[in-house]
Formats: sequence, C-alpha cells, structure tokens
Amino acid sequence: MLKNLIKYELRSTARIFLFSYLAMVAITVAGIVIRAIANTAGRNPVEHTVLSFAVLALVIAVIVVCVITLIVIILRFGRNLLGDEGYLLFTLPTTTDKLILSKLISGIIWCVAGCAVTVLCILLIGTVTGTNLDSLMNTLAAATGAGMNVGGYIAWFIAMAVISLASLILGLYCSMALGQHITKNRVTGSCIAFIIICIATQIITYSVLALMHITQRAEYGAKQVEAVMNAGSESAQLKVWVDFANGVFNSYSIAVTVMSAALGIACYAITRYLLKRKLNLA
Amino acid sequence: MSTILECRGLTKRFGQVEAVSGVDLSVGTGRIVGLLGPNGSGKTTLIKMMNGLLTPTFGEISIGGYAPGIETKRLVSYLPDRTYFDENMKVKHCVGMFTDFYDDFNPTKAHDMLTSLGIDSDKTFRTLSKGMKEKVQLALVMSRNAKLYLLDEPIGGVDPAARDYILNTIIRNYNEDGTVIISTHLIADIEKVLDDVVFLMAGRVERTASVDGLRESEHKSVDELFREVFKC
Repeated sequence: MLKNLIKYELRSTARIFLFSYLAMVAITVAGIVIRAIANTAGRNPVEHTVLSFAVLALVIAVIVVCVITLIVIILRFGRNLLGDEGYLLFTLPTTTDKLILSKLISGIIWCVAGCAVTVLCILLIGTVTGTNLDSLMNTLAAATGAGMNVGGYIAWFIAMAVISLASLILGLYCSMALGQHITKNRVTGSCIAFIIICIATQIITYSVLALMHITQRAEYGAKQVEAVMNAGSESAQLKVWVDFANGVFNSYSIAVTVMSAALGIACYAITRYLLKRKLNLA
Repeated sequence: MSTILECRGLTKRFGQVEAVSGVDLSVGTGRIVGLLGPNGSGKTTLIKMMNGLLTPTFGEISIGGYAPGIETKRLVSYLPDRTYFDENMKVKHCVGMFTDFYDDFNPTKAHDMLTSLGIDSDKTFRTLSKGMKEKVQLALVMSRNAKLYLLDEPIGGVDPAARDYILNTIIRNYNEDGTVIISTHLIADIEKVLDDVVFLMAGRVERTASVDGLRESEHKSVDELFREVFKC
C-alpha cells in the first residue's frame, strides 16, 4: 500500500520536478555550448563572460528549484490530505502512517534528486572549464592517509542532511496539521504553528548545545591540557589537538542530529495524532 | 436483515453550532436509503463522520461492526459532494488507483461505464466538465462491490437528464447484498428508487420509515411529505 501511495505521489509531482531538473541541465549545457562557440572564435573575454552568466544562471536555477521543492512539499500535503483530495486519500483503506510516510518519502526523493542534478551540473561545468578535480581527490587521499575516515564522514554528512531534511518536512506537516485547529484561517494557523515550532526547536537545540559546551570545556580543563603537556613532540601535541577537535565536532554533530531526529519524531507523532484522532476536513 | 450501519447519540459541533445532534440511526443490509433534508440539515456532516473525515464530538458509529477506520474503508464506497481527484490525473490513472487500492473494485466494469459515457481515458481530469467529473467519480464508486455505498448529493449539480443517468447507474451497478445511502434534497427525482427514508432537520432525525409504509400510512408521496415536514 505504501509503495502504491508513493507511486501516485511521485507520478503527481513528476512533471514539475522533471521540468525543473531539465531546465537546470539545459542552462548548464547552453552555457557550455555558447562558451565553446566563443572559445572557437578566439574571443576569450566573451568566453569568460558567458561562463560567468552560465554559472550565475545555474545558481539562480538551483535556488528556484529549492523554492519549488519546498512549495510542492507544502502544497502536496495541504491540498492532497487537508484539501478536497483528502476526501479520497482518507477514504482509501490504508493507515494514517502510510499516508504521512508516502508524502515524506516522496519529498525526500525529490530533494535528493535535486541535489544529484545540481552536483551533475557543477561537475559538467567543472569538467568543461578544466577545473582540476584531481586536487580534490588528492586532498581526500591525503586526509585518508592521515587516518581520517573520509568515507565515514561523507556517509555521516549525508545521513545528517537526510535526517535534518526529514525533520524540516515533518515540522511543516505538523504546522499544517496544527494550523486548522489554531484559527479558522488554515494558512494563518499553519504559519503561527510553524513559527512556534521553530522557536521551540531553537530553544531546545541551543540549550542542549550550551550544556554540552560547558561539559566539553570542563573536560578540556581536566583532561586535554594534561594530554597536551604529556604528548611530548610537537606533532604528537598536534595529534592530540586534532583528536580533541574531531571529538568535539563529532559530539556536537551527533547531538544536533539526534535532536533533529527527536524533533522530527515529535512532529510526526503530533501530525499522526491530529490526522487520526482529530481529523476535520472542511 | 442484519445491520450494516449504526449510529448512537452522534453529535458534531463546530464551535457553538451543533450541525448534528444526538443522531440514533440503524440501517439494514440490502436497502436503498434516502437521507433527506433541506440544505444545512446535517446530511453531509453525518456522511463525513461515517467516512472518518470528521471526528464526532460525541457518540459512536459502527459500520459492519467496526468504528470508522481501515476496516470500514474496505466496506464503504464513498461519493463525496465534490471532486476529489488530482486535476492533473488522467482518467485511466484514476481507474488504476482504484484497482490498486480496492480489492472489490472491478476495472472492466468501470471502463465499460466510462466508454458508455464517451469519456476518453487518456484525458486529464482538468479537461472534463463538472458533470463529466461527477460521472467519472460515480462510475468508479459504483464499480466497487461494496457493502455500503455512501453517496453524498450524487444528483445535486447536474441536469435532469443526467440525474436519470446517475440514478440508473446506481440501480444497475450496486452490490445487491449491500446498502446504498443517498443524501439529497431533490426528493422527486430519487423517490422511485428508495426503500427507506431518513428525514433530517437541523441536525436531528425527524423521521425514519420505509417508503411503502409511508405511502400507505400517509397517502402521500415522499416528496409531498417532505414539503410538508420541511415547510418554511
């Protein structure tokens, strides 16, 4: 059932997203082709200007696609579940969980696809302009050689991004589900709910981080200075500092991700409760 | 005759307004029931509560022994008083959606009905007229072999010729072991197909009776009685 819900959700939104991605690729390719023509004609200043405009157009396109993605995610939930289409969705023999998850998973799929197309366009421009990707690869290899788990960091970064994205989307869903219970005007109610959720999220996140910062400083005072003093050589001291920095970075990023996941789960639980127990379609 | 639908003390408040007040209702299987009442009498609110689209303030609903939920959604085929498909969907995708989600849906029957209506399945919902959209939805809803059909104002927004088509479609296609509840205020058009009537007034059940019994006891048509009961 979830698979079917996702299928229809992706089908309903495919047109607008595929068109957006096609536009991004078209802008990139057009910039590259025009630059190549200018290059053949031997007009270097024109070539550089064209390339600059192509990059600028791509940046604008990426921003526009991000905005479109956000709007579509909001509208799909608002219209498809809380609007007239909700009369169909809520009478299908499926659970509220699957309805919410289908929207969430589809939203994440489109966000990831948007990122992939953006990276593809950047790589295209990078390759054509002769930007040396080897230097990036060399840096990563050196970092790996120094004992840094580059693959692990990249995987962790992607996991953090997906969790934060899911949390943001669930926050939006929760705002919309709450919105209809706050005021008669659903949009105003949703905006008020979203502002409240954002403020609560910031307070909780910064409180925990501040608490962690105090703990880390205490740890630093008690253990790190001693470790540096005992390290001996300069390189050994440096290693202690790097390990310490890595530790702080990891503990902060883990804390932020865990909080993001917890807030996402809380928003999901509220949305689920309201749609399952307090549904009142206008 | 077993009971398919039961409401006990069903009440729905919107702020200070009580749209449905303490409705007690019991509907048996194999009946065609008219839920009749003037505009604002609570017909749509009652049907929406039966479908789980509105949460009752008080009271209970039981459909086939279950409270509104995933089990009742398998039993109920619901036609709302509005268009509920994504306007960008093609008609054939609407059929596909019903096929994917409802085990009791008969796609061949649906395609036959759409063909008889002259509707091109490759058309998007957006390109259809209001009347055609209603007919597509009705064709899909009536292509299910449901235990309970809840049809909210199926003839409300269409011309008299289309009303006949819709009523004939309902009569020809419903599951005869099932029950059909049709809400409307257009009594004269629908009277001929009804077994029972439920009169709703200001959110309350004013009267429930079988159509034949009503005609015998009152010596009036349902339409005449409706006009008398709901006289302004």
